[in-house]
Amino acid sequence: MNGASPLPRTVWIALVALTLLAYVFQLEGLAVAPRFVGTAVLITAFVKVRLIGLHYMELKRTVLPLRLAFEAWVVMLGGALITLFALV
Amino acid sequence: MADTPSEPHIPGEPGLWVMIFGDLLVFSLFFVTFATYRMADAALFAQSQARLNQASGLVNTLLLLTSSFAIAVAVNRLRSGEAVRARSAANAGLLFGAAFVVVKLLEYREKFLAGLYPTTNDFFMFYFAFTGIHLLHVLVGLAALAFVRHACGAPLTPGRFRAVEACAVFWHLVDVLWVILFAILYLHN
Repeated sequence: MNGASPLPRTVWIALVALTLLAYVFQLEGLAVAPRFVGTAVLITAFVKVRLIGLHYMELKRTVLPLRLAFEAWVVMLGGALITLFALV
Repeated sequence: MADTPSEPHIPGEPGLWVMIFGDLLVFSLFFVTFATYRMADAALFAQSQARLNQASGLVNTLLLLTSSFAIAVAVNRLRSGEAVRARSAANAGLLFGAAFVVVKLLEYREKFLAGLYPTTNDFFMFYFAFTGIHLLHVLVGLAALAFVRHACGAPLTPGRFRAVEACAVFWHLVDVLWVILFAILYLHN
Protein backbone atom coordinates (compact mmCIF):
# COMPACT_ATOMS: atom_id res chain seq x y z
CA MET A 1 0.00 0.00 0.00
CA ASN A 2 1.22 3.49 -0.79
CA GLY A 3 1.40 6.57 1.40
CA ALA A 4 1.38 6.33 5.17
CA SER A 5 -0.48 3.00 5.34
CA PRO A 6 1.55 -0.10 6.23
CA LEU A 7 1.72 -2.94 3.76
CA PRO A 8 -1.37 -5.18 3.74
CA ARG A 9 0.92 -8.02 4.80
CA THR A 10 2.01 -6.15 7.94
CA VAL A 11 -1.64 -5.54 8.83
CA TRP A 12 -2.47 -9.21 8.15
CA ILE A 13 0.36 -10.36 10.44
CA ALA A 14 -0.91 -8.05 13.18
CA LEU A 15 -4.49 -9.33 12.74
CA VAL A 16 -3.46 -12.99 12.86
CA ALA A 17 -1.19 -12.38 15.86
CA LEU A 18 -3.98 -10.61 17.77
CA THR A 19 -6.43 -13.41 16.91
CA LEU A 20 -4.09 -16.14 18.15
CA LEU A 21 -3.14 -14.09 21.22
CA ALA A 22 -6.79 -13.61 22.22
CA TYR A 23 -7.56 -17.29 21.58
CA VAL A 24 -4.68 -18.62 23.67
CA PHE A 25 -5.19 -15.95 26.34
CA GLN A 26 -8.84 -16.88 26.89
CA LEU A 27 -7.95 -20.59 27.03
CA GLU A 28 -5.21 -20.06 29.60
CA GLY A 29 -6.65 -17.21 31.64
CA LEU A 30 -10.33 -18.03 31.92
CA ALA A 31 -9.99 -19.96 35.17
CA VAL A 32 -7.97 -17.19 36.79
CA ALA A 33 -9.75 -13.95 35.93
CA PRO A 34 -12.71 -14.49 33.59
CA ARG A 35 -13.96 -10.89 33.64
CA PHE A 36 -10.52 -9.50 32.83
CA VAL A 37 -10.05 -12.06 30.04
CA GLY A 38 -13.49 -11.23 28.61
CA THR A 39 -12.71 -7.52 28.51
CA ALA A 40 -9.31 -8.19 26.93
CA VAL A 41 -10.95 -10.38 24.25
CA LEU A 42 -13.38 -7.59 23.34
CA ILE A 43 -10.68 -4.90 23.29
CA THR A 44 -8.56 -7.09 21.01
CA ALA A 45 -11.54 -7.62 18.69
CA PHE A 46 -12.16 -3.89 18.34
CA VAL A 47 -8.47 -3.17 17.76
CA LYS A 48 -8.68 -5.68 14.88
CA VAL A 49 -11.88 -4.05 13.59
CA ARG A 50 -10.13 -0.67 13.56
CA LEU A 51 -7.11 -2.10 11.72
CA ILE A 52 -9.35 -3.61 9.03
CA GLY A 53 -11.34 -0.40 8.69
CA LEU A 54 -8.38 1.97 8.50
CA HIS A 55 -6.07 -0.11 6.31
CA TYR A 56 -8.14 -2.57 4.27
CA MET A 57 -11.26 -0.40 3.84
CA GLU A 58 -8.80 2.46 3.26
CA LEU A 59 -10.47 4.79 5.77
CA LYS A 60 -7.07 5.99 6.96
CA ARG A 61 -6.72 8.15 3.89
CA THR A 62 -10.33 8.99 3.15
CA VAL A 63 -12.18 12.23 3.84
CA LEU A 64 -12.24 13.19 7.51
CA PRO A 65 -16.03 12.90 8.17
CA LEU A 66 -16.08 9.31 6.92
CA ARG A 67 -13.10 8.33 9.02
CA LEU A 68 -14.53 10.06 12.10
CA ALA A 69 -17.87 8.27 11.61
CA PHE A 70 -16.06 4.91 11.57
CA GLU A 71 -13.88 5.76 14.57
CA ALA A 72 -16.98 6.91 16.50
CA TRP A 73 -18.78 3.65 15.66
CA VAL A 74 -15.80 1.59 16.89
CA VAL A 75 -15.59 3.52 20.17
CA MET A 76 -19.35 3.52 20.83
CA LEU A 77 -20.05 -0.13 20.02
CA GLY A 78 -16.83 -1.31 21.63
CA GLY A 79 -17.56 0.71 24.76
CA ALA A 80 -21.17 -0.48 24.93
CA LEU A 81 -20.28 -4.17 24.56
CA ILE A 82 -17.36 -4.04 26.99
CA THR A 83 -19.63 -2.37 29.56
CA LEU A 84 -22.58 -4.73 29.06
CA PHE A 85 -20.39 -7.86 29.16
CA ALA A 86 -18.52 -6.63 32.25
CA LEU A 87 -21.75 -6.17 34.22
CA VAL A 88 -22.37 -9.93 34.59
CA MET B 1 -7.36 5.23 -14.12
CA ALA B 2 -7.85 5.33 -10.35
CA ASP B 3 -7.59 8.22 -7.94
CA THR B 4 -4.11 9.06 -6.74
CA PRO B 5 -3.69 6.96 -3.56
CA SER B 6 -1.95 9.74 -1.63
CA GLU B 7 -4.98 12.05 -1.95
CA PRO B 8 -7.99 11.62 0.34
CA HIS B 9 -10.73 9.85 -1.54
CA ILE B 10 -13.86 7.88 -0.80
CA PRO B 11 -13.35 4.19 -1.69
CA GLY B 12 -16.14 3.07 -4.02
CA GLU B 13 -19.04 5.51 -4.15
CA PRO B 14 -20.39 7.77 -1.36
CA GLY B 15 -23.72 5.90 -1.57
CA LEU B 16 -21.96 2.64 -0.76
CA TRP B 17 -21.02 4.01 2.65
CA VAL B 18 -24.66 4.69 3.51
CA MET B 19 -25.27 0.96 3.04
CA ILE B 20 -22.08 0.02 4.92
CA PHE B 21 -22.95 2.16 7.94
CA GLY B 22 -26.56 0.99 7.79
CA ASP B 23 -25.33 -2.60 8.00
CA LEU B 24 -22.94 -1.74 10.83
CA LEU B 25 -25.78 -0.13 12.78
CA VAL B 26 -28.12 -3.10 12.28
CA PHE B 27 -25.44 -5.52 13.48
CA SER B 28 -24.66 -3.17 16.39
CA LEU B 29 -28.27 -3.55 17.43
CA PHE B 30 -27.92 -7.35 17.17
CA PHE B 31 -24.78 -7.36 19.33
CA VAL B 32 -26.25 -5.09 22.02
CA THR B 33 -29.44 -7.19 22.09
CA PHE B 34 -27.33 -10.33 22.54
CA ALA B 35 -25.39 -8.71 25.40
CA THR B 36 -28.64 -7.62 27.07
CA TYR B 37 -30.19 -11.10 26.86
CA ARG B 38 -26.95 -12.57 28.19
CA MET B 39 -27.23 -10.39 31.31
CA ALA B 40 -30.61 -12.00 32.06
CA ASP B 41 -29.21 -15.57 32.02
CA ALA B 42 -25.40 -15.54 31.98
CA ALA B 43 -25.14 -19.15 33.18
CA LEU B 44 -27.22 -20.49 30.28
CA PHE B 45 -25.21 -18.44 27.79
CA ALA B 46 -21.92 -19.71 29.26
CA GLN B 47 -23.07 -23.36 29.17
CA SER B 48 -24.33 -22.98 25.60
CA GLN B 49 -21.19 -21.22 24.45
CA ALA B 50 -19.13 -24.12 25.78
CA ARG B 51 -20.88 -26.32 23.20
CA LEU B 52 -19.57 -24.25 20.28
CA ASN B 53 -16.54 -25.46 18.38
CA GLN B 54 -13.93 -22.79 19.13
CA ALA B 55 -11.46 -24.34 16.70
CA SER B 56 -13.94 -23.92 13.82
CA GLY B 57 -14.47 -20.30 14.82
CA LEU B 58 -10.72 -19.73 14.94
CA VAL B 59 -10.15 -21.36 11.54
CA ASN B 60 -12.94 -19.29 10.00
CA THR B 61 -11.50 -16.10 11.48
CA LEU B 62 -8.09 -16.85 9.99
CA LEU B 63 -9.70 -17.71 6.63
CA LEU B 64 -11.61 -14.41 6.45
CA LEU B 65 -8.64 -12.33 7.61
CA THR B 66 -6.48 -13.96 4.95
CA SER B 67 -9.15 -13.48 2.29
CA SER B 68 -9.42 -9.79 3.21
CA PHE B 69 -5.64 -9.49 2.97
CA ALA B 70 -5.68 -11.07 -0.50
CA ILE B 71 -8.40 -8.68 -1.70
CA ALA B 72 -6.55 -5.65 -0.31
CA VAL B 73 -3.50 -6.82 -2.27
CA ALA B 74 -5.63 -7.33 -5.41
CA VAL B 75 -6.98 -3.76 -5.21
CA ASN B 76 -3.48 -2.34 -4.74
CA ARG B 77 -2.15 -4.33 -7.68
CA LEU B 78 -5.02 -3.22 -9.90
CA ARG B 79 -4.36 0.35 -8.85
CA SER B 80 -0.77 0.02 -10.00
CA GLY B 81 -1.76 -1.66 -13.27
CA GLU B 82 -0.65 -5.22 -12.41
CA ALA B 83 -3.81 -6.93 -13.66
CA VAL B 84 -2.42 -10.47 -13.87
CA ARG B 85 -1.01 -10.43 -10.35
CA ALA B 86 -4.21 -8.79 -9.12
CA ARG B 87 -6.18 -11.71 -10.55
CA SER B 88 -4.01 -14.20 -8.63
CA ALA B 89 -4.71 -12.32 -5.40
CA ALA B 90 -8.44 -12.17 -6.19
CA ASN B 91 -8.42 -15.93 -6.80
CA ALA B 92 -6.84 -16.46 -3.38
CA GLY B 93 -9.44 -14.19 -1.80
CA LEU B 94 -12.25 -16.17 -3.42
CA LEU B 95 -10.74 -19.49 -2.37
CA PHE B 96 -10.36 -18.51 1.30
CA GLY B 97 -13.85 -17.00 1.31
CA ALA B 98 -15.35 -20.19 -0.13
CA ALA B 99 -13.47 -22.23 2.49
CA PHE B 100 -15.19 -20.14 5.18
CA VAL B 101 -18.58 -21.26 3.83
CA VAL B 102 -17.54 -24.92 3.90
CA VAL B 103 -16.29 -24.72 7.50
CA LYS B 104 -19.46 -22.89 8.55
CA LEU B 105 -21.73 -25.50 6.96
CA LEU B 106 -19.75 -28.29 8.63
CA GLU B 107 -20.18 -26.51 11.93
CA TYR B 108 -23.95 -26.21 11.42
CA ARG B 109 -24.06 -29.93 10.59
CA GLU B 110 -22.17 -30.69 13.79
CA LYS B 111 -24.67 -28.64 15.80
CA PHE B 112 -27.71 -30.29 14.21
CA LEU B 113 -26.24 -33.77 14.81
CA ALA B 114 -25.76 -32.80 18.47
CA GLY B 115 -29.43 -31.80 18.67
CA LEU B 116 -28.72 -28.06 18.84
CA TYR B 117 -31.19 -25.91 16.90
CA PRO B 118 -32.31 -22.26 16.90
CA THR B 119 -35.18 -23.34 19.14
CA THR B 120 -32.88 -24.96 21.74
CA ASN B 121 -32.51 -21.77 23.79
CA ASP B 122 -31.90 -18.02 23.44
CA PHE B 123 -28.16 -18.42 22.94
CA PHE B 124 -28.57 -20.79 20.00
CA MET B 125 -31.37 -18.65 18.58
CA PHE B 126 -28.88 -15.75 18.47
CA TYR B 127 -26.05 -18.00 17.27
CA PHE B 128 -27.97 -19.35 14.28
CA ALA B 129 -29.63 -16.03 13.43
CA PHE B 130 -26.46 -13.92 13.57
CA THR B 131 -24.15 -16.41 11.87
CA GLY B 132 -26.87 -17.20 9.30
CA ILE B 133 -27.33 -13.53 8.38
CA HIS B 134 -23.56 -13.18 8.29
CA LEU B 135 -23.31 -16.24 6.02
CA LEU B 136 -25.72 -14.54 3.60
CA HIS B 137 -23.34 -11.56 3.60
CA VAL B 138 -20.47 -13.95 2.83
CA LEU B 139 -22.35 -15.39 -0.16
CA VAL B 140 -23.13 -11.90 -1.51
CA GLY B 141 -19.50 -10.97 -0.85
CA LEU B 142 -18.26 -13.98 -2.82
CA ALA B 143 -20.34 -12.82 -5.78
CA ALA B 144 -18.71 -9.39 -5.39
CA LEU B 145 -15.27 -11.04 -5.33
CA ALA B 146 -16.14 -12.92 -8.52
CA PHE B 147 -16.77 -9.50 -10.08
CA VAL B 148 -13.37 -8.29 -8.80
CA ARG B 149 -11.74 -11.33 -10.37
CA HIS B 150 -13.53 -10.67 -13.65
CA ALA B 151 -12.53 -7.00 -13.56
CA CYS B 152 -8.87 -8.02 -13.37
CA GLY B 153 -9.11 -9.40 -16.91
CA ALA B 154 -10.99 -6.50 -18.53
CA PRO B 155 -9.96 -2.93 -19.44
CA LEU B 156 -10.09 -0.93 -16.22
CA THR B 157 -12.09 2.29 -16.52
CA PRO B 158 -12.40 4.69 -13.53
CA GLY B 159 -16.01 3.58 -13.07
CA ARG B 160 -15.07 -0.09 -13.06
CA PHE B 161 -12.25 0.55 -10.58
CA ARG B 162 -14.70 2.28 -8.23
CA ALA B 163 -16.94 -0.78 -8.51
CA VAL B 164 -13.95 -2.99 -7.60
CA GLU B 165 -13.23 -0.79 -4.58
CA ALA B 166 -16.88 -1.02 -3.53
CA CYS B 167 -16.81 -4.83 -3.74
CA ALA B 168 -13.60 -4.92 -1.71
CA VAL B 169 -15.04 -2.61 0.96
CA PHE B 170 -18.10 -4.86 1.25
CA TRP B 171 -15.86 -7.91 1.67
CA HIS B 172 -13.89 -6.19 4.43
CA LEU B 173 -17.21 -5.33 6.13
CA VAL B 174 -17.99 -9.06 6.17
CA ASP B 175 -14.62 -9.54 7.88
CA VAL B 176 -15.31 -6.79 10.44
CA LEU B 177 -18.66 -8.32 11.40
CA TRP B 178 -17.16 -11.79 11.80
CA VAL B 179 -14.34 -10.51 14.04
CA ILE B 180 -16.96 -9.21 16.49
CA LEU B 181 -19.15 -12.33 16.18
CA PHE B 182 -16.14 -14.54 16.91
CA ALA B 183 -15.33 -12.53 20.03
CA ILE B 184 -18.82 -12.43 21.54
CA LEU B 185 -20.11 -15.87 20.49
CA TYR B 186 -17.02 -18.07 20.73
CA LEU B 187 -14.46 -16.42 22.99
CA HIS B 188 -16.14 -14.24 25.58
CA ASN B 189 -17.45 -16.47 28.35
